[in-house]
Amino acid sequence: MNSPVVTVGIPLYNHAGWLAETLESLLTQTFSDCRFIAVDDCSTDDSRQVVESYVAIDGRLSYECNSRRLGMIGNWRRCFEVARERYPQARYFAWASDHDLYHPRALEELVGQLDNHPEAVLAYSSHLKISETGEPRGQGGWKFDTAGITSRNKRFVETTWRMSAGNMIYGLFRSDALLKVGVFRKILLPDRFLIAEISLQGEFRQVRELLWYRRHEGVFSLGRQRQSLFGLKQPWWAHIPWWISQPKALGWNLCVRGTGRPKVSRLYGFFYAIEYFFVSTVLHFARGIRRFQKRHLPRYIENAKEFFSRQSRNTAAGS
Amino acid sequence: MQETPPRKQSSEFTEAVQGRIAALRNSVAFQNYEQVRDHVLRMKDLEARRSETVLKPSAYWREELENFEYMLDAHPLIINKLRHHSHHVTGLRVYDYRSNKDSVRELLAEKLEVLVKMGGHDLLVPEPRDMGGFGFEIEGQLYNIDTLKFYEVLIAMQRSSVLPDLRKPADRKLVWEIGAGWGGFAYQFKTICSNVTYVIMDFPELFLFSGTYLKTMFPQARVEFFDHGSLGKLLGQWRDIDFLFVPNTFLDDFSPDQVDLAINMVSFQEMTSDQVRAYVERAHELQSPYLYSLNRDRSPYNHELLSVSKIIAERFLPRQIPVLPVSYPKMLNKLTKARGLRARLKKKKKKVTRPDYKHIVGCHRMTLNGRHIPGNTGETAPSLGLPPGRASE
Repeated sequence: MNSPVVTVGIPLYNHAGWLAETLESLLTQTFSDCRFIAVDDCSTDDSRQVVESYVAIDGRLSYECNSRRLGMIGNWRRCFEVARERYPQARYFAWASDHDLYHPRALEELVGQLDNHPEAVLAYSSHLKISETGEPRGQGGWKFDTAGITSRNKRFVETTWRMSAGNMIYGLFRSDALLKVGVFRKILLPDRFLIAEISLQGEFRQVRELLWYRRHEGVFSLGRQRQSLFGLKQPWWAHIPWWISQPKALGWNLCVRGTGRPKVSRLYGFFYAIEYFFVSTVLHFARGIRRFQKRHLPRYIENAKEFFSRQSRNTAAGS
Repeated sequence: MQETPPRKQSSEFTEAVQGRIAALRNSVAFQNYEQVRDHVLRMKDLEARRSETVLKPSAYWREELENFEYMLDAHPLIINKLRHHSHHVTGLRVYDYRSNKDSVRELLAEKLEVLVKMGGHDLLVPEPRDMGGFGFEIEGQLYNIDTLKFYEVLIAMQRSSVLPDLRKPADRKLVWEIGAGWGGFAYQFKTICSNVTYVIMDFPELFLFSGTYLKTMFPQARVEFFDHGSLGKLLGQWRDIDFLFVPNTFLDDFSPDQVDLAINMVSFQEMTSDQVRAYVERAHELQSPYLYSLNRDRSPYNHELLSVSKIIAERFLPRQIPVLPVSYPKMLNKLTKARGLRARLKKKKKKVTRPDYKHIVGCHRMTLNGRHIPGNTGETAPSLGLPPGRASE
């Protein structure tokens, strides 16, 4: 079997309502040398029927269902495993969300970026958040990449401070680099961990046009993510704060297992882990303060204003 | 003090005017107009011989077309200021752009500034001064609401990755505009994407504006009108043509071997559901990868239309591209400048408004076993046209 240039894993779980549009937007890509592998994590809706109806008309799409529910991490890993088993020579790999929309030129542009820049390990596009009904949320056009940064340390620091892992994870990866860093680790915020670790392997390049329309449901929370990542059985380490568990895991990978070698020595790995711990801690607390400012501070100010105006009214009435 | 006899002054004025009219009669613009008018009259003859189609003008359009019937026998002075008369099509009047309207000018300049930050100068094409071009003068160039509308559209196309392909000099592309009005967008588009064949499908009467304008603004371009013979033959050589004008009633005969983009601005909303569907289906049949629309879902007074975006969604996957937080005819009104904690405190009281004119880029949909897939509404498998019972197997 000829190996395609790109394999796309589509982890499925209970999004049958949007799946048809998602599959269409993937199957009508202008870059056609690719295979799509849909891996169903035991959906209870009609995901299977939807995918099979498209499998019947496009041989590049295949469907597979897990024998038991693996959770998001397990299913994402499974997508990559199946892709590597079937097409070990495929140069690039991407995960595609089962409820988002892709521009027809998305893959063409991203493949072009990785083909033209061998130093890049990940390419992604700007995106637009859309509501459940497809209405845009915000202006889109988030910008970040590490193109042209040759210093590994600078790239790592830039990435850890500024990454938007939840978006970048849907980019196109160089398969070898992805394999080297261990794909998706069983850890809280695995996307953040993967992006941080893979930044040591090469540059990130961003296409500035809106080639991906990301459907947002609900609000992010660690509790919700814990449930979706690990399924019903959550391991004890999933409850360790991510800003502690992730630097520890990075240190273990780079210093003990040596996954970064030959590019990153064990000694440098130790320093990167310390750096990551520092950045993660600062970010965690800074986000806490921002959240407080955004959600609670206006309410407190309003209450304080009301309190003081009541006080002044009482004083005026008393005098 | 010596006084000039009034009679002589009057005759001098008359002579000057007559001289000017004679010069205008020999101008390129007027000659172009005369040629276009001949084409339009032949198109009308051709149309009259055809049977009734769903695309005949609605009552609304019949009234509009009657308003500029005088354009069939226009004076050279009218053609010299053709843009002033295009208010019949676009609604913009020169009066609103007079030099004493500084506050409006400021708002337009602010809107332009915000758009330039988004789209850069690369896509910005100001209003030309020829043929009575008008607008507020900002940094030595003319801008009006239409100029900014078209610029906004180009930004939306750029953001949604439609434009880059069309700007490549290597391959000739075919762009099909359904209802081009006075030809303003065609002018901007052709200016920034020179290697395209621009096909305009419209009521023939409107070619008196768009045909004359584009023929004059692009004197070197090859401009063709379908007014006799076979449309197929003309379409066979589209790569050598710059502008091609086709009457809307010939939609079924319109079958070029390639369409790279179909465009509609502010006219689907005025049509009936059947008319919109006919255009959308034709664009889909012609394998156009994109259909761009700037329309409201339905004009408030149009009760014959379901919803533009829903009809587009039947054949194209629609993506709404945000550009500005207001619709194109409105000004920003300092909306963009509110930031920080104070703004957040005020935000609660402010009603969130969304533009009712939507930039929609539709991407060509697949067909499933020969059947089109209905638009997504969060429905599950049965809506995909699967045989009954299969979903529960």
